[in-house]
Amino acid sequence: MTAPGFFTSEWAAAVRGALTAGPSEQARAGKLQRYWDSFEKVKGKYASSWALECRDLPGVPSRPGGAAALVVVWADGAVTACQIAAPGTPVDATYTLGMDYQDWKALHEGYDAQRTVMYRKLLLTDGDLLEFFKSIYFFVESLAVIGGVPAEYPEPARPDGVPKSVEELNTEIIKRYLRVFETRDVGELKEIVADDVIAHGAGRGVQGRHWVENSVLAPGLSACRVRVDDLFAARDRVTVSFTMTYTHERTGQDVAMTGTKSYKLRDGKIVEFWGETDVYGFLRQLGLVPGEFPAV
Amino acid sequence: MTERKSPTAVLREGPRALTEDQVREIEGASLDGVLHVDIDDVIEYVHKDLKSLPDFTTLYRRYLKQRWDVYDLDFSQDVVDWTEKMTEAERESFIAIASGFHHGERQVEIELPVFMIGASEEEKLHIAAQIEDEARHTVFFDRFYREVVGLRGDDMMAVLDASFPWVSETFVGPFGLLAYQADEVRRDPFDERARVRYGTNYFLWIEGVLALSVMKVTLSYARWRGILPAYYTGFTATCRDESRHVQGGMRYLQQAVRKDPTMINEIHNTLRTILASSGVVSRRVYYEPLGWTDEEVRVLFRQQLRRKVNDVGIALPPDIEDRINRIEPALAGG
Repeated sequence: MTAPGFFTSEWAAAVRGALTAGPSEQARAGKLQRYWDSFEKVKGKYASSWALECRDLPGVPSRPGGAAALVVVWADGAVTACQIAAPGTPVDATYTLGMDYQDWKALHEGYDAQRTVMYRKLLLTDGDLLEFFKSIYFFVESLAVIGGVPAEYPEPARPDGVPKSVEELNTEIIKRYLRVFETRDVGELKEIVADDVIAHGAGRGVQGRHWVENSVLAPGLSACRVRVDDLFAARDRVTVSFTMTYTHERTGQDVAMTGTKSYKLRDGKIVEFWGETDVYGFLRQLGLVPGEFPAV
Repeated sequence: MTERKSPTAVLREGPRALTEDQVREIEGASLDGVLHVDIDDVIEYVHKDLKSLPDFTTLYRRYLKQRWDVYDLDFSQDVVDWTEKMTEAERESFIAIASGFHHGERQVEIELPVFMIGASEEEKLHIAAQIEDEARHTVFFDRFYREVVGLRGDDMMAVLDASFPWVSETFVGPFGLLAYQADEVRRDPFDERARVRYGTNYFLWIEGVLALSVMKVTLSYARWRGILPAYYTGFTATCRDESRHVQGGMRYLQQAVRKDPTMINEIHNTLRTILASSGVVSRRVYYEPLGWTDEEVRVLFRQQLRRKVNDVGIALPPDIEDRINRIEPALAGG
């Protein structure tokens, strides 16, 4: 099952459930019961709200007036509301804290919540600081809970905040496409290859994504490793030279095949491609064709 | 290190009266000479000038005379003591306490520069010197953890990462607050109320109470056992540096309250927040292997806080007095 996207309403709903449930048994282990008694005592009477901002959420243009925020409202020991506020939406929260996307991601990947506060990765931008710190252990443990909620984290935005170009987006799709030869997850091809893709090569043209799927699942070859030797992207085209190394299952021998292809993309999918692979060299390594070119 | 009194003897002896010779010995001791100075005398020296606080230029001049080279310390005997003379329980207790310092010294080093912006010119000299002191203390612990404890790391942060598992969850109470207070001061370096709240946490609580109390625990243990000479030397020299920091900080708070008596409310409110989190403990710190009981550490904390506020003339309302009585000794781990 795919995790919800970070800073989506589905993720906010999962955060609400996780905060209401509280820290896991694993998180509780190793800390004194007295500490957790104090945590529950604070939680039971906590009546404040947090607006936890992501300052540079990928795909969300930054604008004056704020960042996207996860708004958590507490009352009587439970989260009574947990939702995402879009940038510029007025948020009425007791405390507003902001953090960069990369630090949210690091928290999710296990970076310590206490150090997230101490190292000023997360900063209080609005609210009474002294009041906020009276419940700091409750907040930090809750932050760790939020970080632990499964989520899909999108590719980070470029540092300069400029949206990715068509060429950058198409390059990402082609790299993802080549990775499928390694993972053999042909289901992923549906997302990046058009149903009626046209493939040109070896002196003919064929149509349909099943041709690509058959190529990925070529029998007798496994453990494909793809190396991109050169790549050039311009407008709707990406041209790539690559080396694919397979393990020949019958002999256990590693064999390499080079190739050069030019892909045409439309709306985030490959719609047509041209190119050749060095099948002759590939077969020669397996001893299936002569080592020298026959005299013509 | 000739005197072998028990680590907690000073709690029963009460405040000490330093002779002029003792004061001269503490103030003028070279790094080698610090090894022979009694830590209780150094802590008493911190309080000696609290009633008539020295000005910032005097503190700066003392700094110039007292600064020491952290790379002059030779930890080779400490390595032998650590591995051969200390028990596993002693090492565990020692690290649980020292790790708070390892991270705390770094934190007070990096959070101090913003405070300098709104300071007077003389105070700027003192703060600049203090930043250098704190950097040296950070290196001291980095060296101790690498060379004696045996933690490894390509850089200082890697060693901090390695010692972090010993840091208590409650460390974020005072030190997270300090980080956020520093950010508050950064946004408006001349906001005097924010500066007083910052100074209360940094100079009165973290340096005046936490640091001096916890220094006392590990240093009196080392002196009592006659071990860890480089640690004792470097950390006692650190304590002497702290005397200047605490005196400078107390002078700042005293002047702020004299200038505007309502500033006392900022000090009280900051103490209320700090003490609210000081009654919470997340893990047990075992003092017994180092010669202390929980109650003795608790008494030490209270003594340190009361002496500072009394000497500087900061009256405490009953609700704060009540909270002081609930301070947890496990604070030493964080």
